[in-house]
Amino acid sequence: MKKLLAILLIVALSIMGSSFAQAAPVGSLSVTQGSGDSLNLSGSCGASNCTSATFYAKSNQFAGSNFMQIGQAQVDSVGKAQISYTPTWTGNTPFKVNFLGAGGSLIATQTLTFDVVKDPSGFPQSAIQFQRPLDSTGAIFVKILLTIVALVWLTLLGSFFLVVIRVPKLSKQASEEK
Amino acid sequence: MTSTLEKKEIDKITVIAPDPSWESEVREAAMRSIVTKPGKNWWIAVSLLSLVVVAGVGAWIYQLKHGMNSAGYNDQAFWAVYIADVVAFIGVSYGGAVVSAILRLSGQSWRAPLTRLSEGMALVTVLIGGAFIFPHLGRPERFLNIVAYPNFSSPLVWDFIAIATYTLATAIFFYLPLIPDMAVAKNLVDTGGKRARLFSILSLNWMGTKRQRVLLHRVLTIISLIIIPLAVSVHSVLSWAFALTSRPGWMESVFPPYFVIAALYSGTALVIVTIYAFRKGYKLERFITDRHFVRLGYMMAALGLVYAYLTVADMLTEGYTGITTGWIQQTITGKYAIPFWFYVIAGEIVPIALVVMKKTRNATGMTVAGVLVVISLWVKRIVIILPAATQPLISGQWGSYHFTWVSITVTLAGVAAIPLLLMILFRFIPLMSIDEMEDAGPLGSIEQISKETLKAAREESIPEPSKEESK
Repeated sequence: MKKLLAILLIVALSIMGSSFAQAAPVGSLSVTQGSGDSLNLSGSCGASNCTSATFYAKSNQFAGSNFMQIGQAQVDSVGKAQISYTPTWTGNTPFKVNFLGAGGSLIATQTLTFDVVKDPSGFPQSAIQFQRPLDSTGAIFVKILLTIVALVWLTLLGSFFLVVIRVPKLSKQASEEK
Repeated sequence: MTSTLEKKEIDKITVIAPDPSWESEVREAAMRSIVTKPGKNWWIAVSLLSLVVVAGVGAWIYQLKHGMNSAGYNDQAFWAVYIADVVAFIGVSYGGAVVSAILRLSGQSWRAPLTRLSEGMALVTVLIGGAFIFPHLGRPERFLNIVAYPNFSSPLVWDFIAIATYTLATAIFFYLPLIPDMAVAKNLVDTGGKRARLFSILSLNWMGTKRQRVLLHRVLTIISLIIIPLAVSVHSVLSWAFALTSRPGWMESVFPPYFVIAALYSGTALVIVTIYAFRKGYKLERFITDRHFVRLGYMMAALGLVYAYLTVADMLTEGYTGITTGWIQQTITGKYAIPFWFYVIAGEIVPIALVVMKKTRNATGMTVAGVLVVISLWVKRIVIILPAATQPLISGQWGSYHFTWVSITVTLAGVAAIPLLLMILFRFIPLMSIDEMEDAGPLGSIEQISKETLKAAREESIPEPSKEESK
């Protein structure tokens, strides 16, 4: 019975602890379209002891189902921090900000989802097509290189097996001569 | 008929150590790591290094589960610490192999006590450097695609081919000079034991006849000749993985020689550090003297000056035009200024000063210089990679890479794996080349085998193998 009471007490304290944690200041986060393809991420800490903010985005490109760090900024005198960021994908994207205090302790956090509509196009297709040497004279170059590689492998393995095969034979021959 | 002079030269092929006490001293010293039981310090070192390696494997598994971002990567810093590790580890390997090959080809007799350790270091580091490609890939199973669906337009495919070829050459280059030593070693360990059996297999029944020696010498000369351009090609192709992209800071025509010299520079430095550690650990001061360190130190300093020249050439050429200089500003005065100037001071000024100053021109001074070069050249690779990788080509915003415990632990595991594998390897392999040491004699007076000698040996003294033998 005492054990049961002790367990209940621990469970109750854990729940209270977690509810106290939830009562910590909740920062705010806003995402707006910036100039060109960039986004402006702005967060407010909601507490006086925040020193820096770390911003994250959820992208399966680099972090699986986790948040990926996209930038850091110092919190200003009114508790705000902001960064500019250009995503390399489109679609509904969760963003998150963590406000940290001195020593790196987490003070506040906030997430929101923003629909990214602009996506930098990168290189034009023509440039990619141009970089295909196998379609042109490069094909001969590749064949020459592969031939050189094959010759090097043949020489290396040939030398190795020459020693491995010849040395025992020469020993046998020397023993017979004696 | 072979002339008397030529006959004398042929006899030099099978030089027997003139001093029997030298022979026994060499054998005892070279076999010290095999014959003596490892002490308490050896076990402590191996245990600690193994722990670091296991922690690194654990961190990599964590990275596989949580994505590349757990190692600090993101969409604006897509290449970072792991590719620096690949370049740095394969680079030092190159240095070890080429130092040994050049000294072998130029018939430098003083190389004899160093070749085994430098070739062993070359083999171990190329394996570790090659393994770093897997954490760099993020999705290691996709590595098979490079074999199944090679795109010959990509420098990465050529990287794979070059590294695989170089690894094969390094392994052969390590094994072949070992054959005569294995024949000696099998007689010095417990007869009938496992090690004696292993040594017997590896020795290929070597008897040290003239014909065997000429054969081995000839093959080693061929491999030495191959391994130098091969190593140049490996690092050139590695550099083209950067230089063939259209990123300012990477798209540089100076990159292939830049990478090759960096590899030689850091490789020579690690050879110095390796031989110092083994000399101290196995008390080899009688054979590996301060003279060896000073000569390697001269080589290192010369390479350091060439590398400094290439660094200036790279930055000046692009910086002067003022078109795409963001990465230069970031490197010299911006975010990466501290690591860059660390390289300048610890990787160039201090090591060269240590070589120049007579007071520090000894084993300890050269080793301190070597350690500084190895560390700062790794930092330099980071400085080459990160500013260019995080430079914005579209958005105008610089990306940032942040080191995490995952990337640091995986990198440290690679660093720890070098001494760990070397310590284990040399529990089974003689520390120095007994055969070459005995040939060199106490004064290191090994004679070069001239072309005439080889010709005479081939044409007259050594008959071509009979048909039955060929079969």
